[in-house]
Amino acid sequence: MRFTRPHLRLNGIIGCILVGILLLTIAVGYVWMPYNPIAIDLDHTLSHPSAAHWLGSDEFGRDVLSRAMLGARISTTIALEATFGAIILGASLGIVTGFLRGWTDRCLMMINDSILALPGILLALGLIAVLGSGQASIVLALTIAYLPSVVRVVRGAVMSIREREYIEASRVAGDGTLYTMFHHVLPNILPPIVVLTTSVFGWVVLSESALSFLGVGVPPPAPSWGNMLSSARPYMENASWLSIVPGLCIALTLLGINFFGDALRDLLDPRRDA
Amino acid sequence: MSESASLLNIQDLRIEIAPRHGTPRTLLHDLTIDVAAKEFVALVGESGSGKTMAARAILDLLPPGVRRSAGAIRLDGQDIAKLTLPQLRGIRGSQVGMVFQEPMSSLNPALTIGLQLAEGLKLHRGLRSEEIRSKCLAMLTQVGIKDPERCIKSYPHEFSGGMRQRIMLASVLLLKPKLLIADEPTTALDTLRQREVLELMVELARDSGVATLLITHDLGLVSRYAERVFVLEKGHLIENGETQQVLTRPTHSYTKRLVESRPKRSLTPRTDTSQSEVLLQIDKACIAYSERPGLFGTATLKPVVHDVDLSVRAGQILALVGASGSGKTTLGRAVMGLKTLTSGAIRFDGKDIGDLNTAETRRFRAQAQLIFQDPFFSLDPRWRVEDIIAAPLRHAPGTATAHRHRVSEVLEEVGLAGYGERYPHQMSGGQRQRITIARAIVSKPRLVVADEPVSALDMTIQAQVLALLERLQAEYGFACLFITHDLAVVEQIADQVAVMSDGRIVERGPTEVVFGYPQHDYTRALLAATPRLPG
Amino acid sequence: MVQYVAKRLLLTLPTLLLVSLIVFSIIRLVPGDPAQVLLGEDADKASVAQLRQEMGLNRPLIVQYLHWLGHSVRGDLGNSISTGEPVSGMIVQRFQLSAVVALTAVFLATSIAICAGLIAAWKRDTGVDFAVVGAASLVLALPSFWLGLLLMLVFGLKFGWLPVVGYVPFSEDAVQWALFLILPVLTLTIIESGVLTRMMRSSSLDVLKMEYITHARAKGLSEMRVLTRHVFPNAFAPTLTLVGLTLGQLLGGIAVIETVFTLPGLGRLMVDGILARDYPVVQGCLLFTGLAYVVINLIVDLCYPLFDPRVTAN
Repeated sequence: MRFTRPHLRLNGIIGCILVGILLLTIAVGYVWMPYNPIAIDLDHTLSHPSAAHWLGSDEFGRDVLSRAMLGARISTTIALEATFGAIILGASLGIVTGFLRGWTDRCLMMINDSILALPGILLALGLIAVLGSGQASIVLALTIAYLPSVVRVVRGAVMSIREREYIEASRVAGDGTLYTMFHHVLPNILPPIVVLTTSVFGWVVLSESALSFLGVGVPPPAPSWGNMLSSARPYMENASWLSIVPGLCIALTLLGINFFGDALRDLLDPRRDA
Repeated sequence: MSESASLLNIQDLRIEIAPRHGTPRTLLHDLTIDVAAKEFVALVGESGSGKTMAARAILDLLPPGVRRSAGAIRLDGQDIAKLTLPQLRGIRGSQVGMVFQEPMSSLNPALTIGLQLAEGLKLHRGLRSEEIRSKCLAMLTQVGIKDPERCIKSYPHEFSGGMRQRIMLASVLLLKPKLLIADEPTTALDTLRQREVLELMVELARDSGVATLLITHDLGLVSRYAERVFVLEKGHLIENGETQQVLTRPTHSYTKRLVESRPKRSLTPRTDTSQSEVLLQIDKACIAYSERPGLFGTATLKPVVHDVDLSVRAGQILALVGASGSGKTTLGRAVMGLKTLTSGAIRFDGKDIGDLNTAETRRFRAQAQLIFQDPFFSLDPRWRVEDIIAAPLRHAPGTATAHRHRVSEVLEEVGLAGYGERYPHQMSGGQRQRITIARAIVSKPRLVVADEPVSALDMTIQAQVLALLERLQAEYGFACLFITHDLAVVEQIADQVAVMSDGRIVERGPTEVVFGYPQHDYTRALLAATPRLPG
Repeated sequence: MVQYVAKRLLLTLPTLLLVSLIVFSIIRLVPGDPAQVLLGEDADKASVAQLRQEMGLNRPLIVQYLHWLGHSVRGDLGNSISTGEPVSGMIVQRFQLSAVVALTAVFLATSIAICAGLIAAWKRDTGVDFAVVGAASLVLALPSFWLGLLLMLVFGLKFGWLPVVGYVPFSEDAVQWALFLILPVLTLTIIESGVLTRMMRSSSLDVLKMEYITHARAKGLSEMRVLTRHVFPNAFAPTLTLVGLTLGQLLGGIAVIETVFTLPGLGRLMVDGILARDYPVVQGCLLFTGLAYVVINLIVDLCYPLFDPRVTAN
C-alpha cells in the first residue's frame, strides 16, 4: 500500500494496533472476564493494582479491569449503532439534497442548520430528557445530534462532484437521475464518507463518555468509561488510578480511531494517483 | 555573445527533484542559455520540458523537494547561485522581476492592490509614502488602468484576468529591473487580451531598456516577439539560435515536429457539403440566466446567448469561434439539450429537441454526442476505460456481446487497443482525450459537438488528436459543431465558421471567405491578434 | 459590503425562528404533565386542572408556542421550578462565568494555533512539523473531563499550587477568583488548540502552494513578512469559521468542565435542570444557547471579509 507521506504508514499501523486491541478486548470479554463487573466486594474496596486485581478495584470492590472490558463493549456498541444511524440517514439525505438542489435543498439546509445551532451535548441532553435514560435513547439522541453534520459534509462532497463533466457525460449518454446518482456520484463520494464514518465514530465515543460522566448516559451499575471517571472523583487523592485508567481507555481508543482514519483518508484520496 | 556582454548567463544548470521517499530524478540537464541587455529571448517547450523550473531556478524559487544540483547563474557577471538568501532577496524584484501565469492566483486576494504594489518599492528603494503612491499611480496609468486611484484601494478579485496581468506587470516594472522573466504570462487569457498584454509588455520593456526572457509553449508568440529562441525537450536543450532561423529551418527532429504541429490550412480539398440536408437548425435561440434576486430586488435576467441563428448540414464541420464568455460553450450545451432555451428553438432532424418524448429523447441521445474539453474531469475516475466508452450504448439496441465488440473496435480506431481495463488516472492527457472521442463516436452519431477538445493539450499532442478527429469525421461522416477560440485550428479543420461575441453571432460563412475577407470589426481584431508562423 | 451585512442579518431570522420551534417541541415532547410535575405526585385532580388552566396548557399548541415565544422575546423565560427564581436572571448570571472561561480559552487556543500551525506548515516535514502534528493528534484524543481531572491531580493535589474545587465570585476576591479559573481555562485551551492547530496548518499548507506566495518571494520579501502579511490572512479565514463553530459547541461542552471543577456556569445549570426535571430552566438554556450560537456565527461571518475580501462580492 502506497502512502504519500511515510509517517502515515506509521499512523496506520498504530491505529490498527490500537483498534485491534480494542476489538480483541471486547471479543475476549464475551467469553471471559477476571471478575463479574458488577459484583460488589466490600472487603477489597479501593485496592491498588495488584496480582489479584490487575487494575485495582473501585469503591465498591468491583474489579476495574472487568468493568473496563464491559465498558468497552457497551460504549463501542452504542457508538457503532449511533454512527451507522447517522451515516446512513445523513448520507442519503445529503446525496438527495446535494444533487437535486432547488427549494428542497434550501429548506432542508435551513432546518439542518437550526439543529446545528444547538450544541451536540446540549441537544443530546435535551433529547435524553425527552426519551428517558437507557441505552436505546442514548443511541437515538446521539444519532440525531450528529445527523446534521453528516448531511452537511456529504452534501458538500456531492456538490463539488455535481459540476464535473463526467456527470454531464452521463446525461449525454441518456442516463436517468437515479442511475447517475447511484453509479457516478456515490462511488466518487464513498471515500469521504468512509473517512467521515471514522470521525463520527470517534465523536460518538467521546460524547457518550461525556454524557455518562455527567450522569445522563449509561446508567449505573452498568459501567461506561465515562461514569467510571465520574464516580472516581471523590477518591482522587487516595485512589488516583481510578481516575487514570478509564480516561486512558478513552484516549487510546480515540487515538487509534483518529490515526486509522488519517491513514485511511490518505489511501482513499484519488488525487494520489494523478 | 561573449560572456561579458550578456546580462544573464546560465551555464550547465542542473535541477533535480529529490522526494523524501523515492529516487532523485533530474528535471533539467545542463542547460546553458544567455540573454543580453535589452534583448527579448524565448525559452520554448511543452509540459515536462523543464522550462518553468529553469525560470524559477534563476531566483531560487523552486518548490519544496526540487533543487539546483549544479551550474552557475551569472547576472551581470556575478554568480547569484552562490549568494546567501538575504543577498539573493536584494536581487529579487529589484534586478530581476518575474511575471507569473495564473492571473487569478498570482495576486494576494486578501490585500489591496496598493499595498501589494508598494511592498517592493518600500523594501528595495526605501521611498516615502507619497513618492511610492505617485509612482504607483503613474505606473498603473502606463499599463492602461483607467482609474488608478480607485485601483489602489481595490482588491484583486474586482478585476478581470487581463486587468490583473496588467497590474502584475505594473508591480514588477515599478522596480525597474534589468531582466524580466515572464512565465507563460498570457496562456490563461483569451486571444484578444493575450495580444494586448504582450504588446504592452514588449512596449514597456523596450521603453525602460529591460531584457525579457519569455517562457512559453506558443511558437506563434515566439515568432512574433522573440529575437532568439532556446528549445527544450524533456529537460534537454536541443536547439537554439535566431528565431527566424530556428522556426523556418529547424535542424533537430523535435523542433521540426513542434513547428509542424502548428495547425495550418489543410491542402486536401474537403468534400462539398453545401448541398446536403440541414441536420441541426438553431432558430433565434436565447439563453438567459436569472440572477438570484437580492433581498429587495426582483430577479434580473442576464442574457448569455442572444438571438442566435445557425445551421449545420450533415457531414459538415462548423466552427464556433469566440473568446471566453462569448456564450459559445453555453450554446454547445444547449444543442445537446443540457441547457434549456429561454426562447427560440433548436431543431435536430426537423424535430424541436425541447419537445421530445422519452423514446425520441433516447434516439436523439444516440445520434448526438459531446466531446469535452477537460481531459481530467470528463471521465469518471472510478470507472474503467471500456465501461466509460460503453456508457452511451446502454440505451442502444443490441446484445451485450455486440456492444463489447463495438467498444474494442472503437478502442482500436483511436489507437488505444488493449487499454480497456485501465483507469483514467493511469493515462496521459492526450490518451484521455482519445477516450473522450471514442466515447463520442461509439454510438455512430450523426452530430458531434466538440467543446474545445484540444485546448488543454500540448502542441504535439494537439496535432495528433486533431488529426485523429479529422480522420474519424471523414470516415464516419458525422456533422461537427467545433467550439474553439483558436483560429488556426479553425483554418485547418472547418468548412464553415461562425464568430461569436457577447452572445451574438457577428459573422458567419465559409472559412476561407470569413478569414480572407472579414466584414466585422471583431473578426478583424481576432485575426490580427492570432500570431501566425512564418512560411 | 453593506449588502453582504444586510443579507447575513436577514438570513439569521428564519434560523432563530426554527431554533425556537425546535426548543419548544423538545420540551413539549417530554412525557408527563407539567402541571402534575409542579404540584407533585399526590396533588388532587382539581388543583392540577386549575393549574393547567392557569398555565394555559389547554390552549392549542400553536397558541402556546406563540405565547411562549412572545414572552421569551421580551426576556421573560418563566421561573425555575426548583428555586422559583426568574430563569432569565439565572441564565445571565451563570452565562457571565461560562463566557469568561470559554472566551479566554478560545482566545488563547487560537493564538497558539496560529503560531503552531503557521510554523508547522512553513517547516513542513521537519522535526518541528512532526512535533506539532504529533502533539495535536494526542490532544485530539483526550477527553476534556479526563484532562481536567489529570491537571487537577497534578497541579492541585500533588503539587498543591492551585485550588481544586470551588469558586469565588470576582466581586468578592479577584485574585482567588482568577486562581480558581486557571485550571479550567488551561484544560479548555489545551483541548481546543488541537483541532484549531490542525486546521490552521492545513490551510497554511494550501496557501503556501499558491502562486501569490511565490510572487511575494520573487519581490524579495523576507520570509517573516511573507508569512505574516501574505500567508496568515488567507490561511486564517477557514480557521476563523472553525473558531466560531468551536465557541458555539463550547456553549454546551463547557458543562463537562464546569462539572469537573464545580463551577456555577451555564452548562451546569442546564444539566442540573435536566436531572431535576426543571423544564423552564432547560427550555430557557436551550433557547439562549441557540441564540448565542447564531450570534457568534454572525459575528464570525461579519469579520470574515477582513481576511477574505472575496466573500462580499457576488
